[in-house]
Amino acid sequence: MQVFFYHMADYVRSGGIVMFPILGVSLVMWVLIFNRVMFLRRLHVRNIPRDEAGKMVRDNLWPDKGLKGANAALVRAFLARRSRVHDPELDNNILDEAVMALNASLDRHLAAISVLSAVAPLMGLLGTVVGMMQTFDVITIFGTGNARAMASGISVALVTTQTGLMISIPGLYMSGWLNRRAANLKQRIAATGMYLKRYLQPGDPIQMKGSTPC
Amino acid sequence: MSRIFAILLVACLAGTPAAAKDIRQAHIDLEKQRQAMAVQAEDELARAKAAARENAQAIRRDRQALEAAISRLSAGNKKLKKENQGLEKNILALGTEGDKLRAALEESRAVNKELAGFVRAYAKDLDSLLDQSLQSALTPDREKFLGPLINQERFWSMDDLRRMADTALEEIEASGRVEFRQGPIIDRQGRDRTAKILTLGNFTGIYVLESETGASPETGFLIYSDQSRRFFALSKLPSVQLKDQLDAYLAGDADAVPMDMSRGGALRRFTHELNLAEQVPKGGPIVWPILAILGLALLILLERWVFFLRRRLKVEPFMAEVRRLIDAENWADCETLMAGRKRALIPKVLLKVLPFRDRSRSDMENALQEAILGEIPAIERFLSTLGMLAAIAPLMGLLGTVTGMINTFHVITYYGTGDPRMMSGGISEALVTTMLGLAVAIPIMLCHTLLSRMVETHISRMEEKAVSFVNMVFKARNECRPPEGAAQEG
Repeated sequence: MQVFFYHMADYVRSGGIVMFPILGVSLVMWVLIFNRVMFLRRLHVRNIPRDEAGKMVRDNLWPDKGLKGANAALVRAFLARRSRVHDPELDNNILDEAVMALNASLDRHLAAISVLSAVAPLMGLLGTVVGMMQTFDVITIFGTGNARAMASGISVALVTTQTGLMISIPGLYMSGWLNRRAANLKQRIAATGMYLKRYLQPGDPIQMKGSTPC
Repeated sequence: MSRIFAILLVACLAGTPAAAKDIRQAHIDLEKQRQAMAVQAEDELARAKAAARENAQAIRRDRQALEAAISRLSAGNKKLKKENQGLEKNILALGTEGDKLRAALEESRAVNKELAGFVRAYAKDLDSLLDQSLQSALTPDREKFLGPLINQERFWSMDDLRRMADTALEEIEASGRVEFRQGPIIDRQGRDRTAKILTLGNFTGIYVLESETGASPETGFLIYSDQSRRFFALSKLPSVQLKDQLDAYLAGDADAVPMDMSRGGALRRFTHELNLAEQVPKGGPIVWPILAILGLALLILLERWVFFLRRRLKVEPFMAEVRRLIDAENWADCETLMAGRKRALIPKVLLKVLPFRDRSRSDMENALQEAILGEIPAIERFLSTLGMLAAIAPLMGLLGTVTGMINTFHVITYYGTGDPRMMSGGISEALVTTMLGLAVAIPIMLCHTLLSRMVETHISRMEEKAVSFVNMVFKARNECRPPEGAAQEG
């Protein structure tokens, strides 16, 4: 383990100063990716079936606290805003609002992830340029004869490029995957919203506890 | 013998003239004379013979002596010849030995030379090693003794070798030591100071300088200069993070300390590092429009922030209050409540519809729609501008990239690609503008998205609350005037 860390430290050091922003970008990116993956997973997994959600909307029942999926979140958002007097048209709009509010939360950080993964190879390129500058500095001082002295600049150039690509490629993949997943989820939420509207058909007004019509 | 002949001859020649005078007398005289002369001659002959005998003897004696001498000499000669032969042999032997020795000498001289070369090369190596070692800043002049060896001013001695080995060992030991001591450094203002110096082997020096003004001590890295063999404080202080690590290590709380394995190369690069404010002007003219975009975006964001801050409202409590008042049909209070929060969007919209509360649903919804549509432009103001700015900023950066590359290629056209330094102006323009474009665009983009998201939220919330309000009013109406059907039934 210690040897591994030693090698890692050596690797980072051989990449020069540009390695730190690259690693910072990588860290932030993976924290965001992890956060989004967990978030989207929760919306996917702990879900309730649609017809059950419809019944809940109709009967004004709150879903269990353990259920944190997309449908449950939608039902909860809707019930929190729902008017106390039964008005299907207004409820329709409120449902739209709930879908909108929920969808807005799905896109969070996704743009940041894709930009961070796009920035990483640019930083690698920056490292390449910095490394080449070091190499040419060496050439200016020692001429081209001293291959050993040039090695540090060249290793800066190559290690940063490598790290930039290494960070960017999985980042781009994850960003694409998360985007697809979020878009998928958005569609599902929208579809559920449309579906739930069926349960808002004009019917008996639902008398709620504590409602005080003026 | 020849003397005898000579005398005879003279005697014959002298007798001739006397015959002419008186031949008898003369003859007698002559006879007498002749007899005398014969006696004389016999005498002389005898004497001559004796002399001849003597001579012959002497000659014989001489001859014997000479012969003896000759034989003596030839014997000596023989002996000498023999001796000579021996000597010649000796010379030959000595010559070969001499050759052998000369070869040996040559060899040992070469070995000696090689060894001297080794020692010198090693002395040079050691000198440059000590030169580059940052320990030399702490123990000055320790390489001084190497100078004569390197310059070959004198031949090395065993002491020199021993000292070299000692110094090298000392250096090896010091290069593996972490040590804390006082020492002289040149501080960042260029002054000679004494500081606590921590040396980490031969790699890095760290100093702690007590400040003169009594502020907290300054901790920093040291640069070793091998030209002056001194420590210099790095002109740029280490970053807070590095300084904390250094302090923790110096305090003994941490086991690890940052060090520079490249012996100052990396630390020197430290001083060339530019911060953002120094980099921005390097981006050329395109930087200013990008900064203008940033400023404009900040102004817009400020305006939007104030706008939404002034209109903020706790919606749910407000709606609950409105619901309560409508349920109680207290229209006057409802109006004063809304008028009191007139600045916020929802109360403002609802206030416009309140006079229509007795009209039909479609009238109310129309009035609401009108009121909301009237508010939307104010909410959405500057949003598209912000989006445009976020889109323009990286494009501006791209434009800067292109102009920078154009500059670079101009430079390449003129000077070729040999020196990367020449091109760095255009390249840094290209890169700085791109960087700034991105650095400005990214936060604007984020803010734009968040803002547009916020606007959407506001609008959708307005619509939702408007519908909610209409529903509330109708609910209240229903409760006061029960529906016709119910009335008829009743």
